[in-house]
Amino acid sequence: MTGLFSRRHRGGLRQRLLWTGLVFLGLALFTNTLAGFLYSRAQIKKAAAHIQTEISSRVASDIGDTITHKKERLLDLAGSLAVHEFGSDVQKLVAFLLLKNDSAFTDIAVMDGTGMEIIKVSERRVYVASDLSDQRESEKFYKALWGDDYVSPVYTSDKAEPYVTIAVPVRLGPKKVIGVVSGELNLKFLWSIIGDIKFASAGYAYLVDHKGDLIAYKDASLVLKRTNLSQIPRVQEFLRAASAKDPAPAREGEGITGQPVLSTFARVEALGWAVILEEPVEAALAGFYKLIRHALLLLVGGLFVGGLIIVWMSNKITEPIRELHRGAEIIAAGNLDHRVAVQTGDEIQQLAEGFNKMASALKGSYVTLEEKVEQRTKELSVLYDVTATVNRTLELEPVVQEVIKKINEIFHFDATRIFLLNPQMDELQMQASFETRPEFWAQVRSFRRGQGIVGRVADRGERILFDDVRTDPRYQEWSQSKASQKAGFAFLAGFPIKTKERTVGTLLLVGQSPRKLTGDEVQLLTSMAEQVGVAVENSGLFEQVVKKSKELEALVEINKDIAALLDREVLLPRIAEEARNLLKMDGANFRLIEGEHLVLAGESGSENLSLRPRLRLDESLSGKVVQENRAVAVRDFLEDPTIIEAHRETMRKAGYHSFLGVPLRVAGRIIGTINLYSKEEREFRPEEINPITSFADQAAIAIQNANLFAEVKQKTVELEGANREIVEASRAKSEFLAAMSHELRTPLNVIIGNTDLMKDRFFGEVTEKQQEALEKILRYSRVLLKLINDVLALTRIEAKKMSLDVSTFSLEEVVAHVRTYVEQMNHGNRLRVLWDVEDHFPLMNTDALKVEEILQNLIGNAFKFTPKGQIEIRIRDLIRKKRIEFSVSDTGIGIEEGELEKIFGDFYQFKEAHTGAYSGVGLGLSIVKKYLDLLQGDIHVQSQPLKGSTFSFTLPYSI
Amino acid sequence: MSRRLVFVFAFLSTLAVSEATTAQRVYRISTLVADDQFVPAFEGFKTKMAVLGYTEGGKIRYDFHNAKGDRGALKRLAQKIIQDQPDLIVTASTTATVPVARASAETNIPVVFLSSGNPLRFVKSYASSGNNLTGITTSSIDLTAKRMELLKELVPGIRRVIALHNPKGQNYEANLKATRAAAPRLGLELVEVNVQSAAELIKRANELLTRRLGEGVFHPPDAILSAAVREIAPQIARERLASIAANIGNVKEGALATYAPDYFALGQQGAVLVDKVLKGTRPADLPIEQPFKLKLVINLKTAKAIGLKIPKEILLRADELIE
Repeated sequence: MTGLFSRRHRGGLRQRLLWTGLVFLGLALFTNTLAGFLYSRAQIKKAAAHIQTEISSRVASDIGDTITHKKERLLDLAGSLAVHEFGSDVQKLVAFLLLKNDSAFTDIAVMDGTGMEIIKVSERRVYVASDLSDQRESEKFYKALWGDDYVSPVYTSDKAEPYVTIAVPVRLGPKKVIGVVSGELNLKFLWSIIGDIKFASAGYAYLVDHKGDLIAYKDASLVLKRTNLSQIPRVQEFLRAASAKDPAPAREGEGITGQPVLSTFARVEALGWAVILEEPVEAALAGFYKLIRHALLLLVGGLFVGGLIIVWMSNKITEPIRELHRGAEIIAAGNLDHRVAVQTGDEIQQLAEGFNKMASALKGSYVTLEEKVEQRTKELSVLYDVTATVNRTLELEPVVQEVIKKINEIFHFDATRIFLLNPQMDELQMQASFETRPEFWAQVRSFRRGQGIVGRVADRGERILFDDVRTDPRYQEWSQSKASQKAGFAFLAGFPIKTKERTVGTLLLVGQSPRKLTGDEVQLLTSMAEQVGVAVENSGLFEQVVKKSKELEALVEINKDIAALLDREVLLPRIAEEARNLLKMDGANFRLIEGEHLVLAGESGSENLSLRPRLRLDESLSGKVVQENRAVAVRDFLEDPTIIEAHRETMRKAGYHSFLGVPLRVAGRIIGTINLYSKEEREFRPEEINPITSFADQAAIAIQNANLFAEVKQKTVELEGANREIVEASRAKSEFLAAMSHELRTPLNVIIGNTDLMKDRFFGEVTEKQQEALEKILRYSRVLLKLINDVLALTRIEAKKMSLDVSTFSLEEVVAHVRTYVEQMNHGNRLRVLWDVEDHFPLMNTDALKVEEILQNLIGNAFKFTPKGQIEIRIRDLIRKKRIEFSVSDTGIGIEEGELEKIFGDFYQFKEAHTGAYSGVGLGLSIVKKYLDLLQGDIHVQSQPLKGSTFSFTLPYSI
Repeated sequence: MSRRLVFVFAFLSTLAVSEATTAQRVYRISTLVADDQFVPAFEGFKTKMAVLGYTEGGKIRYDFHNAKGDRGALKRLAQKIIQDQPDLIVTASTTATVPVARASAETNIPVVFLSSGNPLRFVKSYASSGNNLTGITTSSIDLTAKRMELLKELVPGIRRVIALHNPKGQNYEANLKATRAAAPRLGLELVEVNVQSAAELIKRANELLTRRLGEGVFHPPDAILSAAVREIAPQIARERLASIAANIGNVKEGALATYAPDYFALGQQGAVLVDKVLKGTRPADLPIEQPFKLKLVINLKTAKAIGLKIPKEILLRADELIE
């Protein structure tokens, strides 16, 4: 399924209805509830505030009345006291009785008219005569004496309880004041009054004095602590306006316990106190919170019931729509016979009927559409086939045949012809055709560009359609022969066949009956013509590519051939011949620059020109090629004014018209020219000049190579001769040295032998001086013998006469010999010699004498170049490598880093050796190196000047 | 769809009807009294607690301990109570409170004393105990002078007064100081007699409580010695001595008179403090309270027995007459 009904919309109409309904219902219920909440809260708060105001006023009034009542009690006492003698037991008893009957009073004092205390009784204290004092200066006395009732500010006892002192006059008659009676009133009795005040669910009250000190509260501990509440907002408000009379309206704020409260206060007039009522906001609004819970329940219930109703309603509303949707889906699925059955009698039913009508209409148009689609598919299929043919082949013929065939299949014209432009003839020639009356068309096979309808279409590149030539004035105007009309044809159409750049032909269509092509048909035929154009273009390009390829192939072949030729005698004639063949010229030659001349080096077919063998560089066309360093072409000698007359005459006599000369260059340098001659007049195009230029470059390289080859050949012959002489000389030298060494060694051995015998007193006693002389002779003779042996060894190695005497031996034997040698060298223990030799070594299979000789050479050098210090000889078994490592270290003069590479060369000597201190001929290390090469060994040197050297070499167990 | 709706409604319903429910807690209160005479304080306490909603067996459970005047028993019982780990301890008398205060010093168990003649023995000040104790003072020490004045008023010609003291008693020093301060002001001479237990007092009553030594007996606020009042009353009567007790119970047991608070009322007053502590108030935040009411109580039988005629002025002032 596709389109509208295939997509599942999020939720669908039913869900959207449901959610919309629920959202609106929820919003309505929520708004209603919220409004209710706000209103109720305000009302509840208002009512609570009203109650508080009333209660606070009443309590304040009650407290005022209570204090007044206490004052009256004291006035009653004063009345009783007045009738008795001041200071009498009766007066004391009366005072005690007040204390007993009203526990709020804890102390009573009676003062006479002078202010002297006459009687003093107390609930807790004991007063004796000495405790009575003069009170005339006290406020309580003089205020009461003047007839005013006195109430002191609140003060605290030693047990922290709040007290006030009340004083009233003792009158005898209405005007005569004979004394004063005062009482200390413990305000603790107010605690129960205040503490018992409870209103609403958690309301309470407390009493503060004019400083904000707590006088009474349900929690007596706070009172006993003398808590000052002036920081509580409500108390602050009271203290700011202590003289105001009306109770303060209830307000929210922090209460005595620190929690938010709804509170008010009322002043206790005449005392300067305030009753403060508080009710925790939470408690005050408890009913409100209950209301919230109920309201939320109602909200949830309402939502639930509303939701159910909305579900039912949405189902009711959407069922026909869903039926409509199902029907539409069935119709959309292709069942155009389906009809939607909705009988709601409203707009949905109308919509269903509309759907049904639409389905009927769709079914009707579907048949027509199918036919059209079939026709269109056929046309596209045809076009596809043609396009496929075009893509499949690069040949033109199959394409035009396919086009003709397909057009005939579709349109059934009486004639379909394809004319293509022949560039050489500049006329349109029929390439292919289908015709019902071949005899009529046999004569009409080509048109000039612009001739007739075919020529006009090709010339203008625009299609021409004649629905009926008989009535179309254009046909009358444009057609010269009126052949179609005369043959009884009515329909005629020409479509241009175009390549990317130009019009290359005309597709001509003819019918006997008048015909009006539809837009699609015109488009299809235009496309067919375009495909023919593409095929023409492909075919042309293909031909060009094939041609070019063949040319390149030939050129490559020629270049390959001449590049392989190194013999100038063969190469030079071949170049002329190949150049001539390349452009199919009649004659060719080439000249090479020698000094200031161009020398004829080869020619082919141009012999009849009798060319001069040498030309100056500034004459003739060849000279021009050299001087301008480019190809020079002459179309016709006879007409070219730049050609000198003599030259022109020569050419004329030889029958040549055209000339092409190209330079021979190697690495940008001109070495000569190739000259080509044609008896036929020719215009040389770039595509002809390029191959010959390329050929000339290759030919120049080949000539250069041939020249070099000839030179090398000559040099080789010369070197071979020289080499033979050198080898001979070397051999003679070696033989001489070998013979001379041998000859020198024989007498020297005799000298040594006899000297030794003399030294050992074989020939009789010798004096001490003679002994010393003999030892010197012996020592230097041995040095000389060593030198001769070294020379002989080196000579034998070089003469490759050195042979190895390979045997299996124990390395310990070699070490023992070397130790003896070392002892001889170290006479007088001049140096310290260290031996670091492992205990066991495998048997070696190599030349033991040479190993020994190598070690002796290295150790001898060490002794020679170490004036003082030590020499260390180390021998280790490199088991893994199956080699033995020998090393000789010394603390001698060392070797410069730059010298290290040279020390193994023949006759190398240290600089110091020339001074005589370290004399020698410089063959020791050379022989070591050469021996090691023979024994498959290797050697390394580490050395630092003035610090010493280490020579290490390794040898395989076996060679 | 419907599942989503059900979820939404359920959620809203939960919001709307959520009610916090708290399991009711049963409080365990251990009480310790020094002697039977303090039992009325505990009775008053229980009565008021019930009024405040702490019904016995319901919200509250009491473990009652009475040392019956035995000082050693007091110490042991105090230790046992602490080991029981009650929610709160209620005591009566300084004598019973001191060992409990010591034993509970390292714990957080709150202690409320229903009566104490000298609370400064175990609290820092009246405004705040500074520890795990709070309660009500009987003001007994404060009322020493007042009671001595009463003796003087009852027997105007009295000169020498036998002042009983218990050197091992909790209030010994305070009482000694108070009596010695009050007597000279009232023109009385004190005959100080030291006894260390009720038994000793009973045993030595014939020797110590005689008219030879004084015309009146002044009882100290000492729970140990108070326990002996009933037993020594006959001796006092025989010697026609006017005796002033430190508490009302002693008057009922034979002492002539007293001026003191009512223990039952003190117990009721203490219940209010316990209620506050159980609701979370720290004892240190509850000041030591004074008794709401002091009573002048006279035993007329005793007066008659010793041949004393109570002045009319005293009778008029008396709150309670025992006949």
